[in-house]
Amino acid sequence: MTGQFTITQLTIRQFLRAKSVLVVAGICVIPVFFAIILRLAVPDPRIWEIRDFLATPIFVGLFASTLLPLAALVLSTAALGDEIEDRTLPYLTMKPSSRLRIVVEKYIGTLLVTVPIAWGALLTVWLVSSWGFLNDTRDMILPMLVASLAGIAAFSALFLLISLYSSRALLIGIFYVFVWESLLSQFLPGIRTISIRHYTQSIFVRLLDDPVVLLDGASRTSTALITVGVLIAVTIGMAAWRLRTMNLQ
Amino acid sequence: MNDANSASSPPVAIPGLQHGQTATVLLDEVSKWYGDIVAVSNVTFGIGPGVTGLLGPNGAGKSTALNMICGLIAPSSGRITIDGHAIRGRPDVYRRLGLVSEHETIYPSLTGREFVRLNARLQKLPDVKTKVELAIAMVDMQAAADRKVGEYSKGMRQRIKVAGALVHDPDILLMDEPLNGTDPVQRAHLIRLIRQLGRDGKTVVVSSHVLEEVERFAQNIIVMVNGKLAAVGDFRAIRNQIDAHDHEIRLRADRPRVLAGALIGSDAVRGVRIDEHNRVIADTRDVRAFYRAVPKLAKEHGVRLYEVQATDESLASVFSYLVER
Repeated sequence: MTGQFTITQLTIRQFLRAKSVLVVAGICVIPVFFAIILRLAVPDPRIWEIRDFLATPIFVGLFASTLLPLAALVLSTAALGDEIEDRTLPYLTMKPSSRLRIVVEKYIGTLLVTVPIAWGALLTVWLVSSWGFLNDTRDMILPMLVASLAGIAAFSALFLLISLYSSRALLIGIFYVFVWESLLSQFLPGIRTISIRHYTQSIFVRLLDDPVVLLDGASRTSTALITVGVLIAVTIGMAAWRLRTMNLQ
Repeated sequence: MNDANSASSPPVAIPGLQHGQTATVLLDEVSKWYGDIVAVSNVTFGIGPGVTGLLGPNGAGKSTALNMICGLIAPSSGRITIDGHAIRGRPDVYRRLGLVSEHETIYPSLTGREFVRLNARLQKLPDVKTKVELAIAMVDMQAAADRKVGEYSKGMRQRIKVAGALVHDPDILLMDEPLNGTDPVQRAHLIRLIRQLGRDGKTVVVSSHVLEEVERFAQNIIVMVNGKLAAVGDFRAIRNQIDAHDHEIRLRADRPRVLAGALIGSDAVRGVRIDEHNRVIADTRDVRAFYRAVPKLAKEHGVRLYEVQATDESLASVFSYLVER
């Protein structure tokens, strides 16, 4: 391990040797099967059908609302949670580094593993769905990648914080994803404004700017990006504070 | 020797410190409780340079005390300082402090060398390579340094943890049961290392529940029982009082019945029995004579000894006796 980001390198190495990274890949690859089914079921699709499929059921309906938070959940709760459970965290905290640095490096390590997997899956879905029409759907790539990056960054920061408060962060996270993000925020408009899913979807829809792809009450891109940025800053700050004050044994 | 109950009036006389000696580590009326369970109860002592043994039976509060000293857990009340400064919230103190934790877990996918290098890099040391090799050599782990830590024996893990804690050459080294799981050769090597660190002027605190172990490296000891300070001071003075109390010693050997028969004839032994695990349990009032006699008897009768250790119950009884005095 070389360079300044020793904890980030350690984190990546831990993830790449763990089964959890396969779980994340398994979660992210689910839409690829739907894409294959689409192309088998509809051998000669129209362009708008492909665009709508990629945007609405796949990204907005499945990826942003359920798969992406679940993928972020698996690794972000393990980043510090496993260190606490294995009692290896003192090897990091008993060093002349600020707690903020430890949290940030762990967070970056989580993103550097989760994001490429998610992006790889999204690009595969796009490739399979749009095969033969790649030029007509190329404009969808950037919105998908930017929105998924924002979503993973926000969800990872939140779950990393939760992992410092509870040894059952994975269960709490699953409950949050399915009840808060997937159920309540969908049916209770007031909750939408405090839903990461909503901002992820808004970024995608706004950047795509396709009249066929709509989202009820979509926030402006700048609003969504600022909200996500503030959420990340606050949760990372809280995680550093928690790490500074918690008891480690 | 200072009695814990009678010497608690800092700064005039801090238990554990000789007159005029400055404390590197100071615990001032420190308590730690978890709900209704009191792990450490209102202890005050200071630790200066040299090797100090933190002695007590399992569950005495030794690990809690060490974890509080190194800032991993906050005391429920009282104050802990290192050179006069509180440690929690001050990461820069860790440039001067090393901990060998009682927990065995080390990142299993790293090699021993990578683990020590990780510690060196996190300490932001210059010339990492030299420092890492030096630390590995100090614990005599050069031959196994490129093997994965997950493949190490317990003794090897202990030694590589020591290397990780020593790589930045700390002034203060806290070691929680560092000899656990080590074989006699490893144990002798670590004991030599601990003594050398003490002679070098470092403040070394080594916890153990084995009296004979502590005797080999520490002149000053702090005895904790049930979270309380039982005794603080010179090892020999405390040892004399401990030795005057009955001990129960557990022995593992290849021929336990032959060993038991040999022990019965010894003056140092009051009674012998064999437990359900085929181990010999001997009662003795003169523990020093017992420890001298056992190897001789084993050799005379062709018995191979695997373990000679005071039982936890015996230790608890002996240490409790110190508190009750």
